[in-house]
Amino acid sequence: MKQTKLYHWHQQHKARLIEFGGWLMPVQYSSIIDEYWAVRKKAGLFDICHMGEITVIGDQAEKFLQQVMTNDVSVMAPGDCLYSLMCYDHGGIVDDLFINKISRHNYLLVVNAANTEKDYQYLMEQKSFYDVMLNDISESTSLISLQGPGARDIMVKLAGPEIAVLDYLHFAKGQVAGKPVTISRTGYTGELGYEIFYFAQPEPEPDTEKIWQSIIDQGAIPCGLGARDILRLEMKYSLYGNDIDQDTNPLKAGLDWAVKLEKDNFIGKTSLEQIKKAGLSRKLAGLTMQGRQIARHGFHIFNQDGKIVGQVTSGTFSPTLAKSICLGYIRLAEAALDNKLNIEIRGEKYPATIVKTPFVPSHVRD
Amino acid sequence: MVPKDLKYSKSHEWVKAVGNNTIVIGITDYAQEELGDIVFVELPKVERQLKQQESFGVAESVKAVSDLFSPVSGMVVSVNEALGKQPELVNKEPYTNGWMIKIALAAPTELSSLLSAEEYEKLISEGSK
Repeated sequence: MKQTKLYHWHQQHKARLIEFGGWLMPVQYSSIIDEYWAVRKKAGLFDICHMGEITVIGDQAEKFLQQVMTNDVSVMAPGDCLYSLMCYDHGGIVDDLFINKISRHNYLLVVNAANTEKDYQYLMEQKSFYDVMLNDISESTSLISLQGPGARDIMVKLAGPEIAVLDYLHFAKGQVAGKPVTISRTGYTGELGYEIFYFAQPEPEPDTEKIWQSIIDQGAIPCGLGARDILRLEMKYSLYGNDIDQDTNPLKAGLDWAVKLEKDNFIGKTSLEQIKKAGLSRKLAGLTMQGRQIARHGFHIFNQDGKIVGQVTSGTFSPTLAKSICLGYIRLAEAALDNKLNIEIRGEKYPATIVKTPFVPSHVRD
Repeated sequence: MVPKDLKYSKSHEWVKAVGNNTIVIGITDYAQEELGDIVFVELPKVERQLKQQESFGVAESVKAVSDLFSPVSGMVVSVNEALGKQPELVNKEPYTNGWMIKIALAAPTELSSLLSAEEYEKLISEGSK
């Protein structure tokens, strides 16, 4: 199992570690719920070094990305971040990711840890006709994420006042703890937040820890993947492998805003057009439950006639709403807002209601 | 933390005698720590008859669901209603306000099959090695 450059720090600080995407990662330090509140009310810091980073460099970088990405890369200016999907010909999802445009011929892709190798292979297969160079730089790249209403004040103290004007979905170069970093206004929590990239050249190991510690010293609370999962689920951010995968398509996952069918051509376009034309049979919807018991991945969802109409993809307890929430693919006819359904948990059915998502308000643009 | 005056089960419940053939059951500090933040506790109805080792409910944390087992046989005479709204009491005060059920013993001799504080401490120190 792979360890991040913060592994020793986590151990020293009594983090509980679990396997995630081939990495040994902290799931919690103190308490998942306390860490959750740190992000919603103050500022929390996540080790996300497990995420994959792939560079796309060359004269035809934009042309290549237009072909493999569902979103429109041509609208990006240098310094922009764009969420996109990569799809197979049949419309299934290879991965969801962020594209950072460094310059006309230089892009950075930030992909899911467990998908990094698969994505790289997939991109290599597609690149044959394009003048681009691909590099998987995940091993030498550190990524940490500062999230919460207090994140801006901390970043200004550490990286200087110019960081205060960095808008959502933009990135800039800067310095933290005397180290050159790239700071992007992105995240996976629904809060104001920054992701800090450190591209280590000849591997000065403790650098990542110095950057991390300097942020902790400003009052950020270290947070694990447990809190991160609740935070992202309250925002209805998809988790690859749970809510989306090669057998689901972006349209039924509600990610159609990141699919630009009007674009010239891209992998999966024909299939996605057909799926759209035929109409969806199911879609990913958010449900709240009256009680506190958690509807977990794979649990069945029933309508009032007792027929199975869907399946839970992710579920958790929402501390903000003080009740359980979940996502599931639901038959379109049963997926209307306020529709009452039942979810089977340990052999008993419990009432659930289709609700608007995100489950709690987003503050990413604060 | 393993209070000396309680008895323990191998499945990490504690048992406290509270007068005439009546005992209180909860889960240990070690158990709540392992489970993490508890968000839901399902408890039995009052008057339910439980056999020794029978599951009487579940404790659910963000991470996992865990069955709760009755270390003794008997009838449920009351349950901790406060856990409905504040399941986190099990995390914060596992041996006091985080108690779960009170049972009228059917076979008081079963108590002798439970672990002492010393034995339980040994069990968890071996388990966590």
